[in-house]
Amino acid sequence: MDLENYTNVNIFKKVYEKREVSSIHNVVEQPHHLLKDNTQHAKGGFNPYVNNQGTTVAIAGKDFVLVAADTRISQGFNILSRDYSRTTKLTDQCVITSGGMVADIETLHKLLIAKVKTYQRQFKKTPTVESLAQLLGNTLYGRRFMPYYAFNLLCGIDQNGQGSVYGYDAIGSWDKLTYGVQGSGSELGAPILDNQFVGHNYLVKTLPDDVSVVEDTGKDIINSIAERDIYTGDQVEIVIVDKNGIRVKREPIRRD
Amino acid sequence: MSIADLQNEIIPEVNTHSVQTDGTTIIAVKYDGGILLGADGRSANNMYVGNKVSDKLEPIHQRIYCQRSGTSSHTSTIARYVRYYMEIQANELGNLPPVESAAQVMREIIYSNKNSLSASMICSGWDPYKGYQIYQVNSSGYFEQGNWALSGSGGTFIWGYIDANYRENMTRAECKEFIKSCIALACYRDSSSGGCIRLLDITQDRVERDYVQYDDFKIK
Amino acid sequence: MISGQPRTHTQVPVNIGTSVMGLRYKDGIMLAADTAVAYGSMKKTKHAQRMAAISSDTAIACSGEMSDFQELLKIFREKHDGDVIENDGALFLKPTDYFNYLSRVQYQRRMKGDPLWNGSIIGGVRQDSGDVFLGMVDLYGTKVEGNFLLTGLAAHYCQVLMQNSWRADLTEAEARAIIEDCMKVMFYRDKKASDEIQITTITKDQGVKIHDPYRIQGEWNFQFFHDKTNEFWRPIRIYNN
Repeated sequence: MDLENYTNVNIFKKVYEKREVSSIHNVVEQPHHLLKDNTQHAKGGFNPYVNNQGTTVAIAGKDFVLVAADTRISQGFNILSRDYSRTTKLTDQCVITSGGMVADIETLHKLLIAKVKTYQRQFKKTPTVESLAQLLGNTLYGRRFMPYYAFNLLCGIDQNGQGSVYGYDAIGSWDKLTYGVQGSGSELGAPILDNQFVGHNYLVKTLPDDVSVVEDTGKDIINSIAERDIYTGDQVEIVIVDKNGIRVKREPIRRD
Repeated sequence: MSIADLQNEIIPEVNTHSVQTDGTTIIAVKYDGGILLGADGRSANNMYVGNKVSDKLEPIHQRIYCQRSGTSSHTSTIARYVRYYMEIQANELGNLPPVESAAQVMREIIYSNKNSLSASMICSGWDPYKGYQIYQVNSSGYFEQGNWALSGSGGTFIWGYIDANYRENMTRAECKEFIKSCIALACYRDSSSGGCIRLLDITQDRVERDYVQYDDFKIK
Repeated sequence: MISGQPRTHTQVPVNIGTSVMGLRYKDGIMLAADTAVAYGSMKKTKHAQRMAAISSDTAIACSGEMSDFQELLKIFREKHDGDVIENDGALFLKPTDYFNYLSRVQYQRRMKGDPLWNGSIIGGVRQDSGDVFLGMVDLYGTKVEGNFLLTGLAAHYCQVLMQNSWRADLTEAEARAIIEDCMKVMFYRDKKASDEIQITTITKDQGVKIHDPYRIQGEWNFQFFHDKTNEFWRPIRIYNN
């Protein structure tokens, strides 16, 4: 007869087995049971990013640049404002327009204005669009590990008097474009621009030379995006940059 | 395997998993002529009562007392810091320190460290500048002032009782009975409160303590 | 609580004040909030003041975490006092400056991942020029200006009410009526709202005036509340067979 397991029931088995004695010196502090929730979140219940949406379009012309942007900012399904300007003047020949998170956009635009002023004080001249393009790229990459949630289009008149548009992603990857669109309606707007203007992937880029035609097209594009994108609407803000300076005007579009 | 060996298997573990808290019911009420503070006597962790007659009424200065609820180690350390700063301020002023000053120091400590501390405290007393005052700072650092204050896990059971029965400007005797029944009711239902009731009466002239043992708890 | 663990700046608003409203009217700005602070699901404080004057011509009202609101007031007071000391008594900050300063403070805290969890409305009327300003700052530092602004749950319920009744030439009584209407709706529909509200008016002549709180009236006595009970909708049927 097997005297060791005379009950044949295993519930007592553990008592008969010698347990490993954990020495006090090897005790790894377990997370306190109340802290369980804390350790699951990386930065707690707070997500520092929010998308205020909106769309902006920029088109380079022979001797001008046109920016058409909507003026709506949203938070979720709420509208925060119907007349927010997402375009900022950097120099007399350069503007920047962005879509994304308004708190980051404002901070970025403010920072660039300060950098332009510093450049002007230091070098006694206004920075060119090409140098501002590089500056913006570097500024964005400076926050590579907590990016500015801002999708930018830098637009201005370059050294040859030609209009130029530079497009960026949130961490500063940039390229010179003939036209660009950023924001919630970018997927709706890009095909229209490819249809109406020449130059995205074409070897020979022809820039349009008639401001009023481009202006009408720009307004039309934002209007069409407003038809289908819930986050775009209220007003179109047109900013035209040419050798004489910067003109701004607004027109109402659908508010639904 | 003998029985003696089995008994050796039961090894008391170092308590790294639970923290001693003052479960608590603490209450402070202004009456006509002074302030009465009341607290229960239970300090517990998870299941066991560590101290069944603990004293949660901490002197900060001659006429300023604070009441502690939350993690025992946190609250007693905060009280000691407040007491340290008030001693310095009293020395600077050459007079009694303001009660609000003590309460604001408490708020600054709790608010700035709200993610690491678990402390909800009441600071009350008399000063020659503003008279009798009661301040409360909860565990997120929210600062309140009023004619009465209630905190602690047992407090949740008696909000309704207080809403129904509190009157302004009670006499000392009425206020004492009121507080005794508040704490007794809280201890009746809250497992983290109990043991005894410690009362403290602060007036301009003196501070007087009282002790109510468990057998004398009166609910009705 | 256990040493050696990384400090997680986990923040969830705990002492919560609900929606706050701001409205531009003929004489200036009106800010409104109820006087309740909730602690989780408990209505803890019934008579709190959720608005304050930050200078003689600017006031702020906050929703969200009330301990952070108290910290904000401290930040503003220190800024105000520091400026007075630096400028030998002169004060240059206008309502827009306080608005911008708040937005920067919020942005910096957001960058640290430890925000002041508040939706604030700042209103101000400059006593020299009469310029009126109303703006809102959220916990990210987003700035919004407008003629009427709402934070919290009121943004969902009351936006339409305000949109339909707002005019540039509202009298104080009309503005109050709009506020009371909105607060009534919030008391019906917001769990954390109470029926005691407080209004602050900011005008050119009188500066910031925080009025005493008062109770608003809801309509709870419709006859159909009495009549249309379960017995009406699904009466017990008795079949005689």
